[in-house]
Amino acid sequence: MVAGARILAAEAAQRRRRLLLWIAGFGALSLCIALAARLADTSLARLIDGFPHIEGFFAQALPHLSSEHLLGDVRTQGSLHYWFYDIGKWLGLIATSINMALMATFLGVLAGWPLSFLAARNLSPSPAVSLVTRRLLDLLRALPDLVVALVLVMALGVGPLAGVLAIAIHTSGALGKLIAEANENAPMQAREAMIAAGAGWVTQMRFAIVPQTLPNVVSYLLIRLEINVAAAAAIGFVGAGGIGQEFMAALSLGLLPDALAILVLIVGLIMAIDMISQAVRRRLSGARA
Amino acid sequence: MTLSLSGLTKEYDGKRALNSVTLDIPRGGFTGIIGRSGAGKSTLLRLINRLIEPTTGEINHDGIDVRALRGKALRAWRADAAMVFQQFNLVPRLDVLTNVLTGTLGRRPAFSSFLKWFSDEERRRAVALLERFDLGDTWAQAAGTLSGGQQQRVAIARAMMQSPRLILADEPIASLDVHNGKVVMDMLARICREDGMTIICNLHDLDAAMSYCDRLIGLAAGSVVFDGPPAAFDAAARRAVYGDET
Repeated sequence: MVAGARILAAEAAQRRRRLLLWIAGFGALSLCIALAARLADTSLARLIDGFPHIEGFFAQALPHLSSEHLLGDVRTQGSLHYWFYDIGKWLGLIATSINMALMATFLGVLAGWPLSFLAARNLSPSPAVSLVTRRLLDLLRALPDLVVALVLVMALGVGPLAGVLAIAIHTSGALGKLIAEANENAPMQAREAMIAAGAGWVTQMRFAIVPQTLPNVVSYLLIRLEINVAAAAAIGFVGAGGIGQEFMAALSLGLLPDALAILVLIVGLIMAIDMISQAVRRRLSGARA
Repeated sequence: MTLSLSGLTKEYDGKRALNSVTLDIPRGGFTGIIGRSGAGKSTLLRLINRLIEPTTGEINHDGIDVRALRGKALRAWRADAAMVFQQFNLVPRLDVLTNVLTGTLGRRPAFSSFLKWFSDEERRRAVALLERFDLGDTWAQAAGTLSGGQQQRVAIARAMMQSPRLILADEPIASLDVHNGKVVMDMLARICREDGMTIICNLHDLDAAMSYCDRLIGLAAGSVVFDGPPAAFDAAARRAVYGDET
């Protein structure tokens, strides 16, 4: 079988080429990492040298808890309540951060979802609109929310409003891009039928695309909400409201046990949001099956 | 005697899709399963391959209790009872040769398969199968770019790559035009003739069933209502299988 031998030889050559490409790619990547470490003056030794300083921070920040007074009241030294003496205020600020995240996610999807239809290459009214929308989404996404928040704090003053707007801007770019991809991958037969039936562009999107991408959109939205809760907690560092602002204040006043207590609350908050969102997602996907 | 089914029943939520089917299918024949849609044809083939589990009944192949198979033995049985699907079920983005090579996965270790380390012998067999069925030129193309008829032929080559004992074809030509349907049926008939392969084929196209099969099994509402050679398929049998309107 002459032709068979030719195919086998061609296939073997193709495999050799691919293997060489892999090796070359892996080598280049390793080289880049080594070079980057060199340029950034990073080494394992530095990391190891730095560790005692982290330990030093915790030595100052760890509260002095005593086992016999652990459940004592706020005036008892060594009790949990003594450590978390301002728990009421902190929980209020946590609620503020959650509200910031909810509001920012809502505003972000309000802007990002409509833009996603204009950005989708196969749905957009014209290639130019698609191109411009894509670059706009890139821009929105590329602006780091901390930098935007800093600018907005200067313009609007200290408080949650600046944080909400900063996170919303980033969210609209990120969600717009993700939903645009989902829109592009949606099966197009239903849309063809709507065009054939004389439907306009907006109704085509509403009836042929949205129902097909909705499960994806909800899933993206929940993941984004998780990310935004973490972002809302952090964005207070630059004065944009919520629990992060309190954390920064405690740090700058040298109240390290306070800062650690707030950090514990933030970690708990993010874990809780993660679990809730995971449960909601599982329920949604279960309902579809 | 190779495959023997007895009292095979499948219920979905209390509704009977297949009702106590008892059949003996000897080695080497071309058996057509006919019936209206919903009569239980697909259910029967999927039960044999154990893609689904029966509610009650037995499946026996050369004295082996197929229902009792687990783990590696079950995977080997699935490789033995190769499936061919109505929608081809190829991996559209993988090239034709790799699609055919996936036919070996039921009998290979996971690690080397994961890294696409197929042996030279396996590659030679895959290429020989492609050549045998005039698909050699397509070996490097993504399977999704082929015509429906070509895709189904690649899918049958994949089934042959499994070194099967029987081929279970579930409506193999229902998605194809008349010409490609004939090409695919000719290919199955050729495999039956040249390799002595046992073929069990679901068909809703009665003309194709009459001209290619040496035995017809008629299903209606999950029960066997006809079993015999095409020559014996008379007007009464037709009424029993398809109801009155044909």
